[in-house]
Amino acid sequence: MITALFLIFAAVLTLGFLAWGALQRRASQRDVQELSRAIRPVDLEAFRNLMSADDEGYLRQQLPARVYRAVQRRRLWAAVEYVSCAAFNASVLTKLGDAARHSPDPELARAGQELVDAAVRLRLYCVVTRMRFYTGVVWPGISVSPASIADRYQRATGLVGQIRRLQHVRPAPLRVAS
Amino acid sequence: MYNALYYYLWVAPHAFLAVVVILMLRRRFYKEFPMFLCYAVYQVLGFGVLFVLGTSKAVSPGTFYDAVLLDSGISIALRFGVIHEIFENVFRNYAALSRLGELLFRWASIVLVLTGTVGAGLAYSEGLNHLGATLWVTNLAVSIVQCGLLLLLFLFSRYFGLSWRNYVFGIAFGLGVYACVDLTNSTILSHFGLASVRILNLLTMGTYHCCVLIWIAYLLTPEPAMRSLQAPAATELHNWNHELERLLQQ
Repeated sequence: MITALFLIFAAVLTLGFLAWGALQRRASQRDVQELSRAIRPVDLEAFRNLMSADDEGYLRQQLPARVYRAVQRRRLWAAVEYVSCAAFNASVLTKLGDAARHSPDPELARAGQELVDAAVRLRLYCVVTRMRFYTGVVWPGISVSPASIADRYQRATGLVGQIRRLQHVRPAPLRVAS
Repeated sequence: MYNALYYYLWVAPHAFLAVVVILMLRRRFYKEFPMFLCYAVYQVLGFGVLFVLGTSKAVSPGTFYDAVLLDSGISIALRFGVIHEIFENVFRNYAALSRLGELLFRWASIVLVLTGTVGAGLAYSEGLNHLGATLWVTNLAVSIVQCGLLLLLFLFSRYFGLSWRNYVFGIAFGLGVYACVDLTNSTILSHFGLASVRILNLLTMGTYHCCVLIWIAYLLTPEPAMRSLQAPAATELHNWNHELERLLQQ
């Protein structure tokens, strides 16, 4: 009986999710201005302090091991927040790339495709990085350097600039769909 | 009243499916979705055969039941093909995810088949007769797998912000709605048996009718109109990138 009820509950929940997805899809036929407003702000100063290797070394030397682990955990939780924002923004970039990909201008379409690829890779990489950070929260002593996120971020954001330049030179309509 | 509604819900969705076939051929969607076209064509032809067998007095109930089982088996296989086609179509434009999408489909299918088998076994009530058990419990296991695959696809594409063409979304959405309602009905039938079979049959058929109408609606809906858009200011993105790069290269 419990299994049957669980299956019915799961089916109703899935149905609700599908209906919500269809409604959201209608609502998200929006322009890139709205998309850019959806981008989550990041406190760069705070992140700068958070990721400082000097600070980390200083804390490791000065604090007792137990206190250091507690502090490092808090730092990693904050880093998770940052990566979450980057991941969310990557999905915004994916939509922007999709919009450009359907442009009649072949150059813009190619740039859009590249942006989509870069943004999707960034999103994937954020998933892995977040898992590493979570591991670091459990074992604060291990190395959890997210170095290549920066490269991927640079690649993705550089392509946004390229699309922007192409649009400026040859204004072409873009389509955004969820 | 019941009979009239039963016959309407048996005939109408297949008549509308013929419209789906015509739309797919006219708009050349069959190039992207050959399996879905096969499914729609098969449903129309299969319905024709079953209708003749079901209304003919020369055909015994046993023969008709065997034909229904065969038809269900082929439909289930084709629906799996359509779901795989949707997976391929969604991931095709995302080079970074295409391999992952294939792996996701394969492993999710294996896990869901196991889950479906166990779930159907647990939901099966001892009081069912053999014929009911065969059809409904199999259907329950299949519904779990199909529902799970479509849910996984929707969740995955939502997480990554992947875009779907209108008709692709429509096909998946219609199939998902049908799979969910079929899962609910199969669970109830597997557990409570014949007591609720008439009303649930109508519900399943009605849902299938809605599902076909959803396909037609999405096939007819044009892609979103082209609008003039401005790409967002890249300054903030560049700042983030610069900051990350500076920090991580320390």
